[in-house]
Amino acid sequence: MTKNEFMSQLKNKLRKLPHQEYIDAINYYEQYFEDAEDEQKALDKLQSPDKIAARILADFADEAPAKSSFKVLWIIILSLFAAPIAIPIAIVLGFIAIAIIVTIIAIVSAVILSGGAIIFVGIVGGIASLSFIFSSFPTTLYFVGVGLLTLSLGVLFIHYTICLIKIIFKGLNKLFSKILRRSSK
Amino acid sequence: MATFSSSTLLEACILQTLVKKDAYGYALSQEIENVMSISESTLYPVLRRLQKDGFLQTYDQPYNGRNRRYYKITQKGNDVLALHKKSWEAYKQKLDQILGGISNDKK
Repeated sequence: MTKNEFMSQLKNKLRKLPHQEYIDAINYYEQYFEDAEDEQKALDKLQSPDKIAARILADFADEAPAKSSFKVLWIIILSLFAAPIAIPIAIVLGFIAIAIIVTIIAIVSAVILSGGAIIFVGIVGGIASLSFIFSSFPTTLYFVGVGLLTLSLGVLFIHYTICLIKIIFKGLNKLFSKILRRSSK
Repeated sequence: MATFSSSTLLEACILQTLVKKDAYGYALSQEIENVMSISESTLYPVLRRLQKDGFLQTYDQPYNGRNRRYYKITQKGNDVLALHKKSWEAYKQKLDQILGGISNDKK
């Protein structure tokens, strides 16, 4: 492998990283070669671009805050395809990952829809009960109360589901960064 | 139990090298190469990690019409290096209990 091949492979593997991360890594290796007296010797001392990239990506996934875990997960899945593991394994892993994500999205939409439905029932129930307001004030109060209670349960339901999803993504990131790390050894 | 992983050892060597003076990537890799083989875990990912953890800082300095990125140890880096040295000492003593006898026999 020549220096140019090394650099272009590395660039290719790291291009999914945020821009600054990418620039920092590429600059490091550019400077490394510029400072070396013997380019070929300096190159021989380096690991393969695959392994270097896999390690950087694995570290990157570990550091990611929970907020951006979906984006990071996506970067990791893309780089699994680029990891130095046998291509069939990478493809299988990639499809498993995509399957997991699709499943999660399905569950999330189901849960949010149910939560929405509960909230809707609460609001409609509360409003509908206003029609009794002149005939039976206590009945109205009762149904407005029940409506509000239902509404708040719906909000809570959605809130905790979102928390749960964040935890799942964080866990998935950890899992995939482990796979990457193992493949970079 | 006293343990000392090879990645901690590499970290400690990098930090110790930077205590003496700031260094740029290539020079640092040459220094480290003198004491240990870094082929198993290349330098850049480790430097990146150390920087993220706040143990190192970087700054750019012009050299021959281009920039060179220098690495500098932080206070936090000095603190963690002191910890590493402590656990290295403990580990070394444990090892000496097992291996130290050999050199004593020869005396």
